[in-house]
Amino acid sequence: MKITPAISVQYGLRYSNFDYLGEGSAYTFEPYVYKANENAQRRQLIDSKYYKSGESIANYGNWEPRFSANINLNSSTSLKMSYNRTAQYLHLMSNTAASTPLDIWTPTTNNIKPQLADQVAFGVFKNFGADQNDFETSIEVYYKKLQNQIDYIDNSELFLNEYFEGDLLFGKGRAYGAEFFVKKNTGKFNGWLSYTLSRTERQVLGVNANKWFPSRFDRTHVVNLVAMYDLTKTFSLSSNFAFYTGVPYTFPRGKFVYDDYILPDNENSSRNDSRVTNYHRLDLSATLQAKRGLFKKGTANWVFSIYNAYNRRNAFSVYFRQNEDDNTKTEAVKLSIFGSVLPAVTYNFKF
Amino acid sequence: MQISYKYLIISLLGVISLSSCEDVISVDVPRNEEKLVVDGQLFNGEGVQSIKLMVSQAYFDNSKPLPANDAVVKVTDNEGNKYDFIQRLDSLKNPTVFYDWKPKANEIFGKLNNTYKLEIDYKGESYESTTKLNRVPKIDSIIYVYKDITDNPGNAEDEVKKGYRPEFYARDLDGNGDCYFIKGYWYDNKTKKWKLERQQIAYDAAFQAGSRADGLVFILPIRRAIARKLYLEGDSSRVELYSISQNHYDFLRAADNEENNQGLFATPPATFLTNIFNKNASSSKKALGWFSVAGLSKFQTVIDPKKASKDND
Repeated sequence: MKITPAISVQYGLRYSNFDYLGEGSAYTFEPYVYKANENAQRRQLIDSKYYKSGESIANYGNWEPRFSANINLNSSTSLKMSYNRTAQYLHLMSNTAASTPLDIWTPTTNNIKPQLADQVAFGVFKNFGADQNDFETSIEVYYKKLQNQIDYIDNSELFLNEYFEGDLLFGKGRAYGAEFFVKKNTGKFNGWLSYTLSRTERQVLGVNANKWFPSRFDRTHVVNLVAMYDLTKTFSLSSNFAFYTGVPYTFPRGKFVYDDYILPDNENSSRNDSRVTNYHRLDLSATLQAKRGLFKKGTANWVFSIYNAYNRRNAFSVYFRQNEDDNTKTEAVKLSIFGSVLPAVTYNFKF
Repeated sequence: MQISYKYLIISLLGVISLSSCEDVISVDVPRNEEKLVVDGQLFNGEGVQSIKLMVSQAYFDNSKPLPANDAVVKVTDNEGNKYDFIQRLDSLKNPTVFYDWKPKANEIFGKLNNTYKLEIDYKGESYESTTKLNRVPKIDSIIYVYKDITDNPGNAEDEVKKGYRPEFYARDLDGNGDCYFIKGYWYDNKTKKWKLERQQIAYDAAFQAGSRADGLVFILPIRRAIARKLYLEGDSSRVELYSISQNHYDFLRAADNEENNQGLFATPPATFLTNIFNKNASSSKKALGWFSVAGLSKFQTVIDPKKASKDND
């Protein structure tokens, strides 16, 4: 909706309702009793109730307002601001250190409340150059507040465990950051550079001595640089460089022996207080426009590319294990995926 | 209108490199303070009772664990009995990690449903732990069947290919939530010693809670979880069934999981469960490990081909 020629706003309101229906059993667990200096433990089942097909076990409703405004200061500069609230009724369950394809999802239940997120963002956008189109730049800042975030007790078991809800903990989260972006649109040499400085944290009673800790997706610095160069009309080169701060990780501090087991000890119950190594990678590619398309129709091109050009073994995850030859020894292992140069040839066509 | 098939990808080399790899790396981990580690698995039965006391190490310290020397260790029960545990000496100068209590003639440690309290004074701190001796069912028998696994794929070169597979029979006691620690031993005729073959935890008659296995005969994989290999004629098989608390079961289950906690699905290392607490709750000195007094049932048998059971597999 345009208020003046320079100011436009958009707003909306959505109501969502989630009904968790039978047939199924709803479990009740003993309430979590907070104890100072002690991490939360598994909550035992105290009651289970069977619900018939179609019977409501739990019901949640949420208003989800959204608002955004766009102010054009002049023909090349604009301000944007927004607020929105979203409710999420499906939850990703994952207590592994790295993201895996085996992560499971669970609906909202009588024990798991919908996740709510409120986000505010503010940005300044400005273009430069002839026709105000040579360079696009922007700076954006955001703050996000999250409720009913799911976390897990130490040694939680989520798979094949009917009573996994007793292993869950709930807390709040926050995410904030600034994004800087520059893009060159014109000329033989073009591309863009973006940089994000951000923090994603959560606080859960019974984890990390109840203090805020970085979430497993927290990356302080993220840099992306894409550069393209057109050698001729039909042949162009491009490169893509990415740098991410390593994700947070929990390292064991000590170890001890019980029976035949060698067990890790993580003092202070700290969570995510260390980080895996930084991630960086360079990809290169060359694109050649074919003289004619497939079957002489449309257009086509060949792309020759090299992924991970300087062959860096980036850490996907770090874990700890007993040495295979001598199980009284312990070691740290870095797991890399695509930990090698990956050349590829691609043929694209349009008709 | 044009339909565009964008990116029909012919990847010639890509798939070959779709592999992950592992590197052993060195990590600079801040060091923990040394903590007292208690491995106290006492049981209801004859003979010497031992508690292992060690100190914890830095995670990447790969030297042998050190004993916790000069601790004062005692166990008392709710009837007022007191048992002093004295550090065992290898030689006069070399203390081991074991602290022993030796029974007098005809003295048997442990009584069903009694509660036991462990107290340890070590380096100016006092630690304690309390546990109860739970009921344990009798073991009915160990049966064994003849097996020829010569044609099985994946046999180890030096593995016994023809022999007897032992299996024990016992019934979980009625009532939800009985937990067990089962240890299977094999008698080494060369060294004349019992060797631990396998150990397994059980919740009622199955692996874990929620299996609705209360009051049943232990399920097949648990019955067979007492041996890793086939036994020969004249070998002996022994099974020890310990009753443990649900918390101890959780502890052992977490320990089992920890052994396999690696690879893509590794979960972050966590603070380990323990039931050893500093009497002074505000002290920064903490202890690790577990103290338990279990009810014990045992059964052993010598493999005799004439008594072997019929193979119903």
